[in-house]
Amino acid sequence: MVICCCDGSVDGILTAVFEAWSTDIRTSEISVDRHGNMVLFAEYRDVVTDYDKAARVASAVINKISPEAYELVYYACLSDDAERGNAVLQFIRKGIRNGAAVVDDLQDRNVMKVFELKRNAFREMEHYRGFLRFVQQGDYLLARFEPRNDLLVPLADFFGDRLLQENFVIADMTRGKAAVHRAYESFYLCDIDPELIRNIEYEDEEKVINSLWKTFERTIGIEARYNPELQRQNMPLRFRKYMNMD
Amino acid sequence: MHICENLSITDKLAILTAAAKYDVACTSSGTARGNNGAGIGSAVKSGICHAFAADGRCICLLKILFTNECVFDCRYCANRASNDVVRTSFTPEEVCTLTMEFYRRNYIEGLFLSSGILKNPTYTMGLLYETVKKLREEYHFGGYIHVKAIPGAAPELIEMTGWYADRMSVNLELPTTEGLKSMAPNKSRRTILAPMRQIQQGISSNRLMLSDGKSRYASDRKTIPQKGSAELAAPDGNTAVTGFRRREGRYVPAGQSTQMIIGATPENDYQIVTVAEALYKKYELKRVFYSAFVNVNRDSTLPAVDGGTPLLREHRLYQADWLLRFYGFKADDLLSPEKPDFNVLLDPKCDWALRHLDIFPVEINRADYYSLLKVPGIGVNSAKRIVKARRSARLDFGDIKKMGVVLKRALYFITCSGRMMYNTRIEEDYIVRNLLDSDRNVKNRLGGDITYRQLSFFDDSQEEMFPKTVVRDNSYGVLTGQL
Repeated sequence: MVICCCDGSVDGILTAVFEAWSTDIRTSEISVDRHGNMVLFAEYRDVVTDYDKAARVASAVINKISPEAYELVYYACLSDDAERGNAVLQFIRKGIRNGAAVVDDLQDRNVMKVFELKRNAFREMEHYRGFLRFVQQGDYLLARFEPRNDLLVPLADFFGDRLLQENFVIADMTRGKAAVHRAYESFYLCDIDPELIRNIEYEDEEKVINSLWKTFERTIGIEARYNPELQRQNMPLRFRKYMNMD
Repeated sequence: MHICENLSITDKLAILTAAAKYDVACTSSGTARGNNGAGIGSAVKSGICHAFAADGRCICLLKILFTNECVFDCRYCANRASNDVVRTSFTPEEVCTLTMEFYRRNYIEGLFLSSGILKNPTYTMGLLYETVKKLREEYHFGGYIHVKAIPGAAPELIEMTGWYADRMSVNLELPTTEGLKSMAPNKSRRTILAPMRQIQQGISSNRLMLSDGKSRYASDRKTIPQKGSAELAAPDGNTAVTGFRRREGRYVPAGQSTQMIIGATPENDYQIVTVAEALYKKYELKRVFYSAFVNVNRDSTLPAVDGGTPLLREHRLYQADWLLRFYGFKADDLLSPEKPDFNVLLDPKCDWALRHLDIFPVEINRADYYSLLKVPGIGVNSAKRIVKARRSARLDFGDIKKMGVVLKRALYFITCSGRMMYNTRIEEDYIVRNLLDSDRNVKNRLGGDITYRQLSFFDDSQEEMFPKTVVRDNSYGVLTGQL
């Protein structure tokens, strides 16, 4: 058995799929954690992320299976599940054999796994599209968040279109990386030190607008229907860390 | 009337938000568009929730009144002319600045602009028009805009506003004409339905318009014939009054909605659902919203809602609304004049299924899509997944559970490969007993003092088990306190 160890990013996993495929797909596995549980009698192989190989796998998924299948694979790779590499590998293997219908085979264990990972990542993405908050810092807007799935790229993509005319930075505080978007340009990724932006100062104008928002948020609720449990169910506390609510 | 001239923007926002909070139609769905390149903003088909208020409702739009100065005197409304409250108005600039600054920081998805009636309906509509036009043309705002069409305003203004809005709505307020007459003496059914018809015709003619906007097919296409209940018969509105057209925009692309107040007047659920069904069919509405009545004015002619607002009734109406729109049910399937109210204890679909036990159990591996949809616990998504997945394999209970089927409810009504999940009986009393036992929602809403003991649904023993105000059926007087 060969276990391909990658860095767990989308490109890393797709490179590992390429390596596993060219070794022996039936006995290969993918580990997304280089220091995970070791198995006896397995050959460990370190896979260095190679963007060309990853792109070849991605285009094979899109052309030989379907674009919808690639969306599943992409979001499944973003999750933090330790088994995502293997699920994606088996999903692609089955998809290449069976074609586009693979996305409907939900009784298959690996297809269901990929489907669940994608659903989970996508739901968190939908939450952050609404719950992410930008703070004006000089001439740019700063947003911080701590997602469970690695959502920085799809989220920056979404806001890159919505706030095309703004300079903004979205910082993933757990993974220590950020997307930087200059007005009218496409964004790029860079590493950051989360401690530098853990505590930030609010400018005067920012304080005014923020207090206006708090006034609105406080006033819009109907007292006769007061229901904090429902509020917490719809907006779990973990999202509120950087939302600056009352 | 106490009109304050020099209030700070914070005070104005607090007053005009509080005045708008009883409006329920806060959604940002129905339009999908990217950034237009000129200004910030985009829209997502499914809508986005940006926060949740202390009452658990989604906040996605900056929901405010333009002014709470109002010449109308509707009994249920906090802003009625005879109330002694502080009155104020925004200026169009203030609304635009607030919207833009909130939107940049991702606080909101867009603007929801409603208004009290300042001077007269046409004057008010003019202010709303001016505001949304400014927001679109000067600030180049590309986010979501929902504007109220003011009943009785000049049709030209309503038409022109539609070119700048994503969604428009006219509030039906109360399900019947009599209800409206007694609660809102200044409004009439006619002035509410006329703009609704006008917007509907505007949307459908925009759909048929060619890209140059000049020539179009059958501009005066006959809309759906209005037969049936005289309750909703409307005058034919004029489609294109002004001929005005905004090049880059579509006319009310997210469709129109309306809302009804539930529990202020003695209509039963059957009347309400029939009206909603007619609105969907005859006026092609996207949504009908139901607002559980809150007696803000302590008006003596309105029911005092001692048992709290009729939230469970509102919940049941929303469930029924979904059944009408996505599950192929008709109002007459769910209720009838003989049984005019929903069962408080069971959701409308379970209730329906229990009255049609002859068609169950349904075989998961063979039944057609619409039969699957009729099963309690199977929704649109899970039914679609089942239909697709069973092409390649035989499905079992474990599989469909993972696909999103709520087995807790479904297990009494389905078989997989000819087997029921457990050894259950297809028998009304038995199923009701088991369903009620597992329904946390009902327990919580009815105050949680349900004791565990064997109960038979048609026993009168329930009366002792639930608080006096909510027992028996959902007939109007019982749920809301007496008139």
